[in-house]
Amino acid sequence: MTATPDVQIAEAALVRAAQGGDRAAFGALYQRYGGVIHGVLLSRVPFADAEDLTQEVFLKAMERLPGLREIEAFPAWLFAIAQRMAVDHSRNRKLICDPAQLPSKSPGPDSQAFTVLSAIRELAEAYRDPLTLRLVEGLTGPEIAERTGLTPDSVRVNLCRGMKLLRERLEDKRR
Amino acid sequence: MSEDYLWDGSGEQDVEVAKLEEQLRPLRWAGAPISTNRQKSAKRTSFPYWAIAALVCLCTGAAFLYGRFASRTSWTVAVGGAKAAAVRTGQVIETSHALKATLQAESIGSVAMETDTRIHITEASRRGERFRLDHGTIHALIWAPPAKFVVDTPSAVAVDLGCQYTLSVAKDGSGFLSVESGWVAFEARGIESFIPADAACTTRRGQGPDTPRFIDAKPELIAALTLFDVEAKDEALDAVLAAARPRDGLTLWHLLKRTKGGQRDRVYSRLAQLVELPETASRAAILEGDMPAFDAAWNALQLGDTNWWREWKRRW
Repeated sequence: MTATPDVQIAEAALVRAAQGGDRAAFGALYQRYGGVIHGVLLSRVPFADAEDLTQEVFLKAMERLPGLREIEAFPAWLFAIAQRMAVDHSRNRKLICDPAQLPSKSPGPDSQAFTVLSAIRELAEAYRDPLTLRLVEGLTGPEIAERTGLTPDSVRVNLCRGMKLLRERLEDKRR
Repeated sequence: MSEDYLWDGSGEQDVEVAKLEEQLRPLRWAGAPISTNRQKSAKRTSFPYWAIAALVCLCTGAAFLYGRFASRTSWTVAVGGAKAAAVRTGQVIETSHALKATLQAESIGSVAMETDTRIHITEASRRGERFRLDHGTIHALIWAPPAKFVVDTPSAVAVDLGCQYTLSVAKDGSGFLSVESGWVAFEARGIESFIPADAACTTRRGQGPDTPRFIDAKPELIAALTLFDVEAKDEALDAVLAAARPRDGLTLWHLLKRTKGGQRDRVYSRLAQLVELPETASRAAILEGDMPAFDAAWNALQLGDTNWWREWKRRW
């Protein structure tokens, strides 16, 4: 874990309280990790499904949280639930990466956002997640390290390498 | 341009990064409150209790056969949607040709057992969890910290690095591992293989892990690699090199570590054609077996930085 001791202690207290049925504590965890889980899902499932699936991840987590014995494993545990749900979800439907397949008058994000997201999705997993969390969800590198359990060094390297590859992909798409 | 802006938004603004943030902001999580009015997932099918009893008897009977079992673990075993039973260290769990089972531990992960599969719970402690897969197939989804979950097979040890994978062991002790997400390291007799998502690796009893390759590698590469792993002949190696794509840098990197002299030189030449290698991964350094050079070559594969597994490798 790379979180500061104060953050670790506060988070451990939240997880324990949530395990005991404290809805407010669980709500705080939802607010803290919602963006992370949404970002992780966004690099794996269609945009239209990511918000709903984020909620389902947390509902599943709420159900299973009493069984979690290693409190410090909470981020990795939550992340694994999200990964599993993404895999199950993708098995049940075709992943839409091609912005051309979107309805021509869809409200919300324009096709350029989806073009960029599509380029991020083409990258290796090690780069996809940090880039989505940084560029879409707006987390800083230290926040990504803190909430995913990765070391700051790993996050920094993967952000930099990933960004270089993303620039190249986007340049290729413009040609 | 400084990387600080990408890292934490400080320093001089990186115009391109800022533009991407602006473009992607509409995709950001909206933070809607959780709605608890969601239908439960598909109703669990009921399972004949006689089958549960049969599995439990099998577990208990096997435990008697293998000696007294010790402490209770955090694992439970369930058949279908039925209530789970506790699992103890030393216990052997074996499914029949008609039954599957699932082991779960909230802090570690889940392991789904296919039919005709036998697992031995050899260790379950603060140090880590260790199973032995005697034969059959398991699908593991692990969220424990890296290297906390280990599966011994007759031909190699699979160390989880945070992932989802399928591991099969045949009755002759040979194995096959494919990774769906994350990483697995395979090790035996000092030979290591690092297998990322969408890649696979076979193992052979007495030989350890073979060379990993991506599942979508050309059939001619897979066939030639299988031959090379068994006989290490030049013809097979040349066929692998000829069929390799840039993505197969994973395979070529492992071959660099498994070859010497002229063979390693040929592998290096092909890898350099397919992947842009940095100066720090020079031919001379690789031929000498220089570890930092191997790390630099790995980083050039764009599968992730070596830093992430250096952290756990000290615990190997």
